[in-house]
Amino acid sequence: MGRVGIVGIGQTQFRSKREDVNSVELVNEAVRAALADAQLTIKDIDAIIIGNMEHFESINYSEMWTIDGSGGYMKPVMKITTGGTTGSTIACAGFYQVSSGMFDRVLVIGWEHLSESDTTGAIASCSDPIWERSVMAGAVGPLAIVASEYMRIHGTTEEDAARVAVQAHKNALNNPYAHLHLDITVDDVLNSAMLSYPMKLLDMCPTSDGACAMVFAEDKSAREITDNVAWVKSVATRHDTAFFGDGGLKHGDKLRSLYLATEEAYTRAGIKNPFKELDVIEMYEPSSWSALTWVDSLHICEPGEAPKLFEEGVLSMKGELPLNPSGGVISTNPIGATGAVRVAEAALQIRGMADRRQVPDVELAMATGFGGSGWSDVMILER
Amino acid sequence: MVGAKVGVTSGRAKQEFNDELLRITMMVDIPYNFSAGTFGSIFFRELKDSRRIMGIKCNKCGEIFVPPRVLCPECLVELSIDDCIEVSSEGTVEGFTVVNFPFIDPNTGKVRNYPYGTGNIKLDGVSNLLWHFLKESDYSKIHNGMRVRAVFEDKRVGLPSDIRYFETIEGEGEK
Ligand SMILES: [Zn+2]
Repeated sequence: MGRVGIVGIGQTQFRSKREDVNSVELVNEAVRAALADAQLTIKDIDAIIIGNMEHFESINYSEMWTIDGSGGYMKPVMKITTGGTTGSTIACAGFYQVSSGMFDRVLVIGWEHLSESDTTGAIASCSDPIWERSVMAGAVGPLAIVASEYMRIHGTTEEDAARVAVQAHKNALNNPYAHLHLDITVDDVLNSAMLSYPMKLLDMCPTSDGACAMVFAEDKSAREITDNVAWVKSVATRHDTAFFGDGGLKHGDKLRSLYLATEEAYTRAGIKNPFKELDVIEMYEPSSWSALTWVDSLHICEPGEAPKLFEEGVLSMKGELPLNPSGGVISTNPIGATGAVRVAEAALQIRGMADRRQVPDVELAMATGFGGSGWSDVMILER
Repeated sequence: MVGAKVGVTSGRAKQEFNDELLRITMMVDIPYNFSAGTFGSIFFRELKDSRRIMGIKCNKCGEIFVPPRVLCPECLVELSIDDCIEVSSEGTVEGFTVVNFPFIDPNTGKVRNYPYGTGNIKLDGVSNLLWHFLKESDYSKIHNGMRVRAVFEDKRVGLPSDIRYFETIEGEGEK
């Protein structure tokens, strides 16, 4: 199997309401940007993968609806719908399709127009209709439950979490695509509305409209397109069981699927010391509390050490291992695109194209995705 | 047709057009009929008729799960209705929150009542957690490790809400 690389990246402006476009136009905005970056036209694309959580817009067959925006007319088109991981799964699928040898250039697109419905209500409908839907309160409720466990296990404070949110929003100030540009303090977070104890408004990600597209290409084709390729080094995915009470998400000490997926991705990539070897991480962290629990799941520290890493600035832009220079999910969350943005931002870091949010000399970058009742995707990129 | 070299609306024209943009509101009311399945039917019948909470004991690893299901999530062994057993209606809170914001309940299409306490409950003897409502909705009065018992509705219809909520067992449990 030859190498596979990312040669084109396009993001829309992410906003709470993109009323200036319908979903087709939204998708098209990202597609144009990705093709322009790769200096390709849609004629050069062999296959298309489109990711979206259809119940947010209440449209079935979103791959059919958006065909004029995606450019999929008379091409092989496949839709992917895996919850929060949708955007990272389309990246994995782009890698799989090119790796298979079937296609040289695959365009992957993740998008969401969350302002068109009630996001928390729509997320609640992801849980089993009979068993868990009546208690499910979108993403906020279950993530708050995990947060309460993390507090109990590790003695973590609300200030520890607030510090994470402040760092994310500070980083987002350097990202022109980010939805929220908030210059805030720890006190601002602590004084924001209590959504679901211990989760406060500024601990939690927003709901955003937007799209992200990338072009994956096989070795020779990629090198013909550009000499600045973000090569895929390894990929791993783990899915958990259906019920929230079963395991994955419930453990406040770590996210089991992320712990196992990163372990596999490191092994495949020959990474022995991820803390030392990785130059930057774009982690899917829908809340400050999730960032704490899940940093503990990346094999870069001992369980319970995440708050210390944030407090000491180890994961800041100037730290040893910057986390989410983009501002992460805490600043931008267009659900079907969110995981794709993680991969795209990691690829921009590898290609040295991240402008004011660029980490110097990035050779190895990791992106993660989170969804469902505790699923994880991991993609490691190299220069 | 999309492509890097094809332009649509120019920035200026688009700006002038912004006042003309429409947003169209629709309300939908769609009925659903969900199948409870073999194991769900056992669970809800026992809950409704006998106020019993049913779980399933894996015939290989011996772990007990609520609700009962066709496959052991740990060893992937196929389970049968003969593996269903009654479990305790008392347990320990192992994670909680108090939901304190409005959103549309996908079960009803209406805004769900709030605030409400909810948590992962480890029923005594059971291996996994049951996610359900707590009677208490003041988060300063809830803590992990707190002992709780199920309170059943007098009129039960065969739904998870037949367990109205879990109430605090005073004087029990670690602080
Ligand atoms: Zn078993």
